[in-house]
Amino acid sequence: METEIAVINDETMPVRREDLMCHVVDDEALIYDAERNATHRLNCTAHFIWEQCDGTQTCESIVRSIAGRWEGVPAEVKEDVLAAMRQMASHGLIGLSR
Amino acid sequence: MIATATTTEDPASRTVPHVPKQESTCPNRDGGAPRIFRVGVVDVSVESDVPGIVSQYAELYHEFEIRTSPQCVRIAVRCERSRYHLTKRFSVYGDGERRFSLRRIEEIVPHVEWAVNWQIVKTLRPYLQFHAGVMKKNGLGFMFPASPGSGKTTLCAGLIAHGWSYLSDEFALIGEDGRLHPYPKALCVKEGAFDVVSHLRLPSLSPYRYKKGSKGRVAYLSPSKIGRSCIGDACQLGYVIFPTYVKGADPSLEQMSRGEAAFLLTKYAFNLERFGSHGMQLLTGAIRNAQCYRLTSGEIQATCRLMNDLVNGNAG
Repeated sequence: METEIAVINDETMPVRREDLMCHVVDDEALIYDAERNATHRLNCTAHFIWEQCDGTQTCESIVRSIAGRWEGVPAEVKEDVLAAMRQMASHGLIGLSR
Repeated sequence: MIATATTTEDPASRTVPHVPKQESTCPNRDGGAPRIFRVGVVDVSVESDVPGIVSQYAELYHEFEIRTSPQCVRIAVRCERSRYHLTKRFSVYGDGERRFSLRRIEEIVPHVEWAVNWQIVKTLRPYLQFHAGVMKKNGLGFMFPASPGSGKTTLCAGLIAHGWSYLSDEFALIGEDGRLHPYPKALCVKEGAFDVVSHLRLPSLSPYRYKKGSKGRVAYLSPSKIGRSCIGDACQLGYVIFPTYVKGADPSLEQMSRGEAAFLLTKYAFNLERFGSHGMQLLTGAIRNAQCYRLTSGEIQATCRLMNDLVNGNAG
């Protein structure tokens, strides 16, 4: 089930839903949404992004965190991060606020 | 790449039939005493006022017959008249609720089995349940999750013929201890696989041929005839293998991550919703040390040889 999401930009402060349970398997994460009986699979980068979505960081700072965590992150990573956040938001994994 | 994927439980992938629930209650008739069978962790009592049905069921499970059970799935078969058409119908009840109303006698036994499956999903609460064949080799459990028609039963039959132990051709039951538990039901072989299974070095299929709804004609390979020594006991999950049958294909294995396997497994879960997050915990705990693959299966002997190679560390 996907939902319409608000516009997401550098200043957006995403916040992950607190009722979701995260189960890490090797370097991937399975997020179980009991309310929708849905399971989401995140690779390690997506999992890292989801973890950063604590409602205190802007998208811009999360992109910086990724650049700081992994070497050689290309400039276009910002678009990938925003796309991942849109996807997470559309599946109800995070909420977006400004 | 930043990847996300999502799944929800897909009722269409289940084999448990989606027949509208009917509220009628099993009539309390006097007949022969129910006979009770302990099929792995599932106790089943069967009674019928249709001659021959209990004995046909007992032929499949006679090795497992017990005298009493504190808690069992109760199946009753009744010959009834249709209220509207006054024609004779055979009703199959599971724990007092009518599950199926059938016209032909040769439909009854498969639907008794189906009703048991239904009741397992509904009532066997201690186990996280998946639609999967389950085998055991060298002390480790092999789970083969797949949709109907993927060749699970044929693969299980082939592996039994290759000396593997059998736990189930339909249900993987993960207990609170994180282990796979047996439900060694009779292997339900569809008409298209009669020849293949008949050529395996196994006891012969049941002499009866039954009708099972859209699956067509089926016959059973009795776990009693396979023998108790071929029935596996509870074990740790060692491998999760998603089989797809491709006619004429060279059998092959493709490794996948545990995360992907756990994610895909949720599509084959019967009762994850009931367990909620604890179910995910059980699943990810059970799979933590497992190896996970996609299997393209082809000719059964070649596929079994590939599985043996995998166990012996020679695959790929």
